[in-house]
Amino acid sequence: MSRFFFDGEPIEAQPGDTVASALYRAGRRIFTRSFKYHRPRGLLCLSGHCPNCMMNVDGVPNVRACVTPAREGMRVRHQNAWPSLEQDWLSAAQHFDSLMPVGWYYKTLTHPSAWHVAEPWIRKVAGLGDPPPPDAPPREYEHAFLQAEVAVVGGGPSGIAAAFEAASGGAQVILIDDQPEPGGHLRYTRPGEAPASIAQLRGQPNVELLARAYCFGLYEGGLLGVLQADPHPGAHERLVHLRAKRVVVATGAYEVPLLFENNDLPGILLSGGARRLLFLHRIVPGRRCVIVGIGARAEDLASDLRGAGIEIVSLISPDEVLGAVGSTRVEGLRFRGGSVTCDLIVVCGPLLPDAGLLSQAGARLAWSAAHGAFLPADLPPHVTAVGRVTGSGLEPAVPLPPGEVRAGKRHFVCLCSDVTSQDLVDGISEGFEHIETLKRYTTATMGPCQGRMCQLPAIGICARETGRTMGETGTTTARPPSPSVTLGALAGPRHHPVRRTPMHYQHEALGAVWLDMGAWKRPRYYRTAESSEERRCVQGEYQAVRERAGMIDVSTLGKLEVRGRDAGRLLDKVYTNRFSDLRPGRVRYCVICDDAGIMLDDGTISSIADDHYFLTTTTGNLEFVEQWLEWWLAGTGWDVHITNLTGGLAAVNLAGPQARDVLAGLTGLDVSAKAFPYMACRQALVADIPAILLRIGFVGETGWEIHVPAESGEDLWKALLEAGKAFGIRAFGVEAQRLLRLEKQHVIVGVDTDALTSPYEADMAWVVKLEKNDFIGKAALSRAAGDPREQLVGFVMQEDGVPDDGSAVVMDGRPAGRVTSSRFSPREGRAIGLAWVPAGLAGEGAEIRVRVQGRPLLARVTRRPFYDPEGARLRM
Amino acid sequence: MRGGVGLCDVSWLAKIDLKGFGLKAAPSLGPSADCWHLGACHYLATFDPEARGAVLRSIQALTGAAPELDLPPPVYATEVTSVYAALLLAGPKSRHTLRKLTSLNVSESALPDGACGQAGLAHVHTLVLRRDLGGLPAFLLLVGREYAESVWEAIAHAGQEFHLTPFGLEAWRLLSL
Repeated sequence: MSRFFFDGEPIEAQPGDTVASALYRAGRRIFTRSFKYHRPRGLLCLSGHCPNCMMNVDGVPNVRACVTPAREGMRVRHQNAWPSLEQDWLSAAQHFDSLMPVGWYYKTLTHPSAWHVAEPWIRKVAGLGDPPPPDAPPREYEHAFLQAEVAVVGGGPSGIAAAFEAASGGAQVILIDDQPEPGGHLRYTRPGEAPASIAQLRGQPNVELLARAYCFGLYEGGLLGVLQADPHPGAHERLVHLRAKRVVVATGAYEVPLLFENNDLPGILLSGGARRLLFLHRIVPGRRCVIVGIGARAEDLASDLRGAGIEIVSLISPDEVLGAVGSTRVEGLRFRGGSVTCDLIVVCGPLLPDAGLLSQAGARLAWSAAHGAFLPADLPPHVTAVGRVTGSGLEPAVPLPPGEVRAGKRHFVCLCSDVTSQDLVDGISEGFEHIETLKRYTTATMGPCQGRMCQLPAIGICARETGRTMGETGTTTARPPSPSVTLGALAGPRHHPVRRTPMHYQHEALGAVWLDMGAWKRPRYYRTAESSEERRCVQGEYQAVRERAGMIDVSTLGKLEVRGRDAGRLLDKVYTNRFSDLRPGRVRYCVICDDAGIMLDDGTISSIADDHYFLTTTTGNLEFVEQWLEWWLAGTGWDVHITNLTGGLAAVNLAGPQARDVLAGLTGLDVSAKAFPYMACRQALVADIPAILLRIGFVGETGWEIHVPAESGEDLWKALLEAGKAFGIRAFGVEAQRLLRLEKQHVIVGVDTDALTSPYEADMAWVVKLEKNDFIGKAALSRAAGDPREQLVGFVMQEDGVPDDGSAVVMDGRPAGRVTSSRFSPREGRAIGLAWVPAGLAGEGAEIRVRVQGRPLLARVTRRPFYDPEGARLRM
Repeated sequence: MRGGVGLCDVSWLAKIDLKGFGLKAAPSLGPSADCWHLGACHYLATFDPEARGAVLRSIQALTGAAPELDLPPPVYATEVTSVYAALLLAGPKSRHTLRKLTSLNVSESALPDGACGQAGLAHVHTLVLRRDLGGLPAFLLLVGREYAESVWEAIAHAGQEFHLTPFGLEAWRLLSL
């Protein structure tokens, strides 16, 4: 015995109870209110197919209470009714049904202002539950990847037999069943007669049973999407990606309601629902019962219900039935020639093959009058179907198409969206004769049950009204996921990969404020004892670099080793610059363009030996550059081998007027300007750590990029900080680096350039060597070398204000360009930046207007770096 | 751990990347090194750092091309010990843990002892090297060093239901016996 809460009231649950069965046992008959008219709805199928028992369970909306096991302490709430399920004021909507004919929202509320007013109200009335609040406790979802030779979907008698047969042949089998126990319909049609093969199956070592799991999609390559509830105590749901060489679909058949007036009243159960209450939960669903049905199925049902002590008042054929009587629950049934009082109506509805998966796999659905159902045909080779899903054992329950259409405003075809037979008839008379357009116009088959309950009656009405056969009318399309899947399960575990540099915890100790760059964590700036305000911290870091010395962790740079006799040849082909003539010990700036001459990435290439180069790429583009090189290498037969060393090397950029003094104290290498000039590279020990040193400068000061094995990164960092203490060294973050480089007008590819930028437009013609042999982008760049229409230029604001990145450059009140980067420059005493402007405005000193907080402020174009335009400081 | 699953940081394992047109078959690097076939003309050697001298000598022997022929060196060796973090996932439930993290087929038939594969594991590109440990199924997982902490956390989380235990060098030595 356990206890849960429904709308705050404690409810007792027996072992084996679902939320719905426990509530039913406690006397509850209304489980939901309908979508449009807020009519009371009660249990119908008890198999998780219909929308009649959707509730909010522990904060998760739209949970089907009839297939959710009751658990201690659960908090269940009703949905879509106010103030309660019994007294729903919104049910007044049903008195205004004449104002809401089929497709009314397509015809009214079309004016944007009208929709604006109506939308929140429609949303409130027609809500399908509320998403969990942001402060709801997190739920654990997980993913799993399984492989099997044979996957059997459905644990009924046919599925068990198929799994047993495949397993006996030695195959690895996974059996997926949505019930807590295998056995399928035998569990509630012939309880106690579970096939012996279930026990045998459990004994097979090569069979894995996924219980309480349903298959929501069958995708290409034998991939099955499976959702398993409560896989273990630590997880709420598990999404299984199951790859199977062979798929056996044994999903069986499900029952659909019959069409008559008030066919949605609480107290009307499908025969399967009544049996489930009786045999799975030992609940007697009523006292005086009318059975609507024909033949042996109805007789069997009658004898089973009688056996439970239920009085069978009458057994009526479906075509005799006129309507149910009652307002909030069944009180009687009207039929041709009379009426009876009762508190329960059990309907033997048509049984339909659950062929959605087969349909997704490419099977055709063909009408069979003999079975009264659409049956799967033309299955793909790796998929087979067994059991009732093939139509075996099924027979018509009602004539289809119907002899006449009973059009009525209380004859519900679609329970999910309150679509009546009258709505369908009206839709057809308005010209929506094709079943697919009728579906979209009326929304029948588009609700949470995904057409399970309403598709067959809708097709029947459509066929009758348009004078076509069932086969000619056809079915709507089955798409995954069916049944629905929670977004949390699709998203999976809350794990996002994080890339940490080897000096991560050093930064943390220094008070780093983090910036996410892709998966990398980089210090944006460092808080100091004096201040944690970003502007002041960045200013301090900036000054250290310009006046003394600074150091920044650049381990996030992509690093590639390119080796082989033809390495220079490959680099000449892929990069716009020339590299085959790069002497060992030298570094060169490099740009990659695509065939259209568009800049894709930049970086440096250092020559270690004639057949050995060391490449750096931008932080975000490593994977792309590696693949790009491999792509252009493929098929050439050249002796080139590329190895990614990114994670293996820690890198620090040491820069500033006193950087040389700091470095000289840590290495025996001669670091004088003469022995180690600008754009040179050397290998040496720094702080006793083997290092590659590149003399380059992104920030515009004398500087070195020092690469060491990752595990020595912390040691190098600490050694530099210690050696630099006497010189007032500061660690600086990405924000200071961006400001420093902006003063040098150094472009960041992907920030200042976009998907259409050529090096000419970015004012970087010098990186393109059109005179060398063919290279990627040469043809396009040869044509583009003329006059670019737009130009990336520097600018200095002439008025107070710092534009945001992305601000518009305006000309005559219209946008004519945009700012890509802008910062306040301490050196200039005003904001500076880079911007795209039309070629006519790109001249030195041209006046442009930049929109800053809505006001077009004056700025002046400059093509020269703001800081050290000759690069003298770099070469010192 | 013998009943469930354990996780051990073995990033200290030495790793050398071997590429070159001379690598038509697995190079023989002696008993102390494992040689993993990662692609055409591409192998990865993993070994205990204590065996470094011997392994490097074997590699040296491979890289020397016949000088009389004008051919590129048959093998280029690159030290990648720091490039990859190495995590050893071992125990009867190691496969169950892996199945929650990667789409790679890690079943006995698809990935027997000594086989390897490459796949995303917890969204990170990983070399999955099957290397059983004294009769226990075990997988050596090589990920970019910068991802190591994040992947460790993901594995530890996935292994919770199997009571995953981190283990150290002493347990590793015991299990290797």
